[in-house]
Amino acid sequence: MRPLYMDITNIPELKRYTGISRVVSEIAAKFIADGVDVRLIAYSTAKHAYRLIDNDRFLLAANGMLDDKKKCYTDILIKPEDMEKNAIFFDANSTWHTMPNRSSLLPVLKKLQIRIVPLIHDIIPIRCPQYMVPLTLMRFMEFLTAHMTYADEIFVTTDTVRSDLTALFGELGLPVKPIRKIGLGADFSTGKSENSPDETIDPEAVRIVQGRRFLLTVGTVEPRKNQKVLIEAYEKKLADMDIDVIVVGHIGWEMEGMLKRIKSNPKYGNGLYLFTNANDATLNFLYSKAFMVIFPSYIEGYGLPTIEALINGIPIACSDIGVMREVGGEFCDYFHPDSSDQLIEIVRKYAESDELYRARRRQLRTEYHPPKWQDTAAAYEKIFFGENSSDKFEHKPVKQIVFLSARPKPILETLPYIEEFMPFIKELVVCCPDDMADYMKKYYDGRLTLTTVTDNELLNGRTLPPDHSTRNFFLRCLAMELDVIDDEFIMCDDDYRPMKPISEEVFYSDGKYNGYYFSDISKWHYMIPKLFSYDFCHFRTLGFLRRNGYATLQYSSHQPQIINKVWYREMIAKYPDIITKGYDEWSTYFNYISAVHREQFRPCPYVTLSWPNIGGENKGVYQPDYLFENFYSENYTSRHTFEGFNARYSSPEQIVEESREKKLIALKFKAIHDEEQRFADAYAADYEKQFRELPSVALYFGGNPNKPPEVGVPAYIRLSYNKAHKIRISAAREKWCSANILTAYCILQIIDENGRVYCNHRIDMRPRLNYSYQNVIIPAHAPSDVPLRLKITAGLSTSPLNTEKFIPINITD
Amino acid sequence: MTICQIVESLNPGDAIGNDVLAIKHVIEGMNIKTCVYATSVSPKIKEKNVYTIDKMHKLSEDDIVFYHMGNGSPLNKMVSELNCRKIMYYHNITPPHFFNIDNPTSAENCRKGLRDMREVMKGSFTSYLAVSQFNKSDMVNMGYKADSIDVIPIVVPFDDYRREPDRHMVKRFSDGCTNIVFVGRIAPNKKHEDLIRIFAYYKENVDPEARLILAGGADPNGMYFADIQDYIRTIGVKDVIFPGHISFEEILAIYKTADVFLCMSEHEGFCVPLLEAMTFDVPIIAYDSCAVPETMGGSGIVLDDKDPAFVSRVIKEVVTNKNMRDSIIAAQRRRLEDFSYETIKKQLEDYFRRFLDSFPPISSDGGSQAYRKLYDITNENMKKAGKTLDFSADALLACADRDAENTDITRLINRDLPVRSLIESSYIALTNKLPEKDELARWESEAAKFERSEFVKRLISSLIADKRRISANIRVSCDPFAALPTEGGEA
Repeated sequence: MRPLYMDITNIPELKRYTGISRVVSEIAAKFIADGVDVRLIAYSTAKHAYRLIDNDRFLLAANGMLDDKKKCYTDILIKPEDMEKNAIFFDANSTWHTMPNRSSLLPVLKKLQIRIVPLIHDIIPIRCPQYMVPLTLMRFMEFLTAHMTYADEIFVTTDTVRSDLTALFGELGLPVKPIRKIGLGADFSTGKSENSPDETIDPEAVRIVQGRRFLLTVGTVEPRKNQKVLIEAYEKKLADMDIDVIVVGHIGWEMEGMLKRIKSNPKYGNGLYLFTNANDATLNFLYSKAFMVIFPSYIEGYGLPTIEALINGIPIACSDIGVMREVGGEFCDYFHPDSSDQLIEIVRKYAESDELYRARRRQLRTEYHPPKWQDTAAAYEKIFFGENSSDKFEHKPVKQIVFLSARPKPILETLPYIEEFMPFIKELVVCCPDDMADYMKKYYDGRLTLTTVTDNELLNGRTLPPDHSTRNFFLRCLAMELDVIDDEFIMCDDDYRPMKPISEEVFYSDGKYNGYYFSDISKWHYMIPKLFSYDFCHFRTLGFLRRNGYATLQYSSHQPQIINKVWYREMIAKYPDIITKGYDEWSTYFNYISAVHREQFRPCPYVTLSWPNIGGENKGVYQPDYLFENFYSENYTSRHTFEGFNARYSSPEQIVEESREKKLIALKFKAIHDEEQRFADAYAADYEKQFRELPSVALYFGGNPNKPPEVGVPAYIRLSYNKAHKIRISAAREKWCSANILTAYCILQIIDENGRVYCNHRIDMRPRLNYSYQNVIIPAHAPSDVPLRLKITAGLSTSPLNTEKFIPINITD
Repeated sequence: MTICQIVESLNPGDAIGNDVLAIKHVIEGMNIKTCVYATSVSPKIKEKNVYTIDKMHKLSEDDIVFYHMGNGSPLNKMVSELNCRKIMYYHNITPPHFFNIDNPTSAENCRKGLRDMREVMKGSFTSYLAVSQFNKSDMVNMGYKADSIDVIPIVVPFDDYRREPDRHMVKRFSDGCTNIVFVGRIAPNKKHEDLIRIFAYYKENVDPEARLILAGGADPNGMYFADIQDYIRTIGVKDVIFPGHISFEEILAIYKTADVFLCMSEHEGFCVPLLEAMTFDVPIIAYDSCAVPETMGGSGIVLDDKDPAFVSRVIKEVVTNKNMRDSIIAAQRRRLEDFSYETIKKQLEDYFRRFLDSFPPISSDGGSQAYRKLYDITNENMKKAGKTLDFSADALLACADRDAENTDITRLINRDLPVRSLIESSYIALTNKLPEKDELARWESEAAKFERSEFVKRLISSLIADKRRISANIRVSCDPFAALPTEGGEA
């Protein structure tokens, strides 16, 4: 069973449960009881991670049986990026109040192929924002948009909310997600606090109801709950009918007027009552004694109190709105929320006829069957764990490799590696210019059956886009139309070489396709000194992926990848215009199938040597192995890393041996990078502890040409004689200023107290580059017995103005 | 998306300046946002969205830079390094050797321009445009790929030529004498000495009443103009007129009264005055060099010989042979149609459309569109209830844009928010709250008091120090205002 995460941040510590926290607790409790691998988590901003909650203790807390609710938490911390792949993230709590914001969390979960399933209780804050506190509204809007973008499916509790949400998808121009309705239960077992010492019935309540007929309304006193209509009915007629009104609920936002109206009624305290802080015991008492319960809301997400009143067998009058009709059906009386007269008539009907009143109570007792939480939980469990994927593509052994190339020489140099090390490949398809097709036919004499498709055949009269990346995707989309291409094949570029024997399992294993990513496109914005067509292509891809709520992994891993033609075509059919949009052919396809064919796809970290650099860490993506080399001839030239190795096919034994040696070289580089990263991380952690801020070198160009930049620097810097410290430098620029066309510079120098310079680094940052890095190491000739400082000088390339800062160096081994 | 033209200097009446403004109008007509930046902008330019380069806006992902290349400006390198889609419009650079006899600075400027073309700019633009086939071949000779270069002629503001010419000047030159005219900068490549030599022969042997009008400014630091005047004195030719700094209307008067437009220039990337002469039905006699025959396009008379006797004979024929004159003018009128504003406008529009198709734009919203739409929908609902939302759309975006409780100050500042949005976004990013009403008012009044950078510093530093930031466990990074405890007396 896959794990199911539920974010219940704040719930364990609640003094009193609200509607949503009761719902969440109830579902969680049922999941636990049913043996679901449910992982209750609560986010801690102090620890920058989720804390895992102990399920048993949670049950105790939810039943008011845990003396210190903080005891719910275990010591286990879970960062979102460390959540289990392929899990389920069931977001049912009112998590817009808490961190992390869903717009940052959900993309992370998406990368892990975690199924994102929110329970949207209602979208009242959007439809009736006037009832909301601004901060809550804003956070809810963020929460809702993120879920409407990234959710795999959405749960609602009523048809009313489903149709409202469906309409909102249309209004936002977002592709509609599957929306399922699962109703709520009413037989609550959690959220009670019976053992709490303050849970005794308010004697005032006991006193006022003595021998009286009263109408009860329960809910926060706020405009949308519309207590106003009940007060109006009381003022008009109910008081004269000798029927009292008791309002129970906290006073909501901006309700001073309402409060005044209640309190200025001459019968306030003597027929009209307000309980703003009633405990559960008092509330239960009032329910048991009420003549009728009134729910006059203009708008409701579910109307749980209605069901509770029905269970108690008390006649109910509700506002005539969709949700109320859905949960109350024939068991309630309905009035227009603005018509106190209709309300009065309903009350009069029962007040004047004992027979009618008794019949209604009898009907509720005998005919009403409240929904059960067990059914709610079972419905969720069936969907989460019981449904089989409808994704039934049947995999057949892969035998074909496809190249799109215009370079005969590299492809002919690459093919011997494929032939030798990828024995399952039997067929070769090359899409290429006409003259290259002739060349291939003439000079290729390997074991693979060659088929060529010329560009003209591929284009079939269409024009080739000039931009390199746009062309790539365009041609690949056209290639998917070819009958000569198998339904499943390996797509390869002409310079990807296997380094050792590769089995088909590299591409397909345990019933899943493996797609290899090397980065996350969203992480390298504004970090690249010079952008090429490749980068623009990826930024466009990023926009597409984000808009459609897909993960943003970078699959252009410069190694062969397996493609399912049927799915590729399905993607093109779904987004026909992508053919000419200039997206990245790998990242678009793999992120798409990662979501749409989740059950049959597995994202894997890349296994490419020499991409993007040898042994370099790449935005935190750890390479488990090197199976393919992205061949760059310059690596093999004099004084380069692979000098002396064979740049051409030699013999299988020699290639495997050389691959082993190359891997060691890469691992050596990687070890150095890792060590440097640890060094920088440890410094940052220590620094943050001391100064409550992360150490940074940050430049700010404010737009006044007569002022040098602001330069923020750490209070001290930790450097070493044997480990480079990778210092991050950032640049912020105002919208209108010369820094938007001039290159910014930052000079880092290690100096002693006499100003003698021991090392000198200049970092140039072009206008749209916001982040850069510089490795700094104390040179061996720098003295260790005098204080050293790091001098930082920053300015704009053609301006004489600059800012200098001097930072003490803390030397560490 | 904004198409942002950048040019070294923007002056009215200057061919490139006119072209820049005309292109701006074409882009505006396509409903694309556009602006112009120049190192120097003439105060006479009253056009909207024209700025000096020190007010350069932060280019967005989606912007396109359209650079007018024509000299050795420091902008060449800066523009080449800009990270966005870029178009170079090559107006040609005069070979530096021409200026060796005039001004070494000009020569060096040209040399640098050509060096930049070869070493700095090649390959760093997405697409290239040349104003003439000649310029395109010039680029190809410098190693640019022919298939990446389109040719679109310069836009000439023909409507301006319909203005009333200066009456005084018209009267002055309408005295029955033959007016031989050349309009263009007094620069060595234009070969004014050849014009004078030919004119001297013509005046002496064909028409003693003729005059030569050489309109155009001279480089005040150059020697060429003085040399030309010496030359005139030396050969003793009379009636060579340098009108000097004259108004546009006076230039029109010169064209209006001209009998022949004589061009002996040896280096032209396009030569706009040829089209001006065509507009005024002035028969053109021009030397076959660089882009001149291409611009003439078979009209006028193109000569491959500068022999004064030969050229004088041609001038005489053009001035006196009415049939010939009429047929030249008719051909020139036909040629002019190729350069009509509508024709060039269409070429430019087609080019921009093809460019946008070939190099697709990046949606700069980064996925923010849904948030903005939800904001609008919610705000509409709020308005129906007689209220408006208490926070800006940018605040909602800040709420979405943050990385949980991690706040990168550089990223926050780089979002380029207006004051209220910046205040709200900073509060959200640094305290996880919206500002209270009084806080918002206080910061808004601070914003009015201080210049932007000072305000940003005060706001952000204050929020970083705020207890709410600490209690919300918000981590700050990339903070340019991080104060150094040991600061002061150190530097």
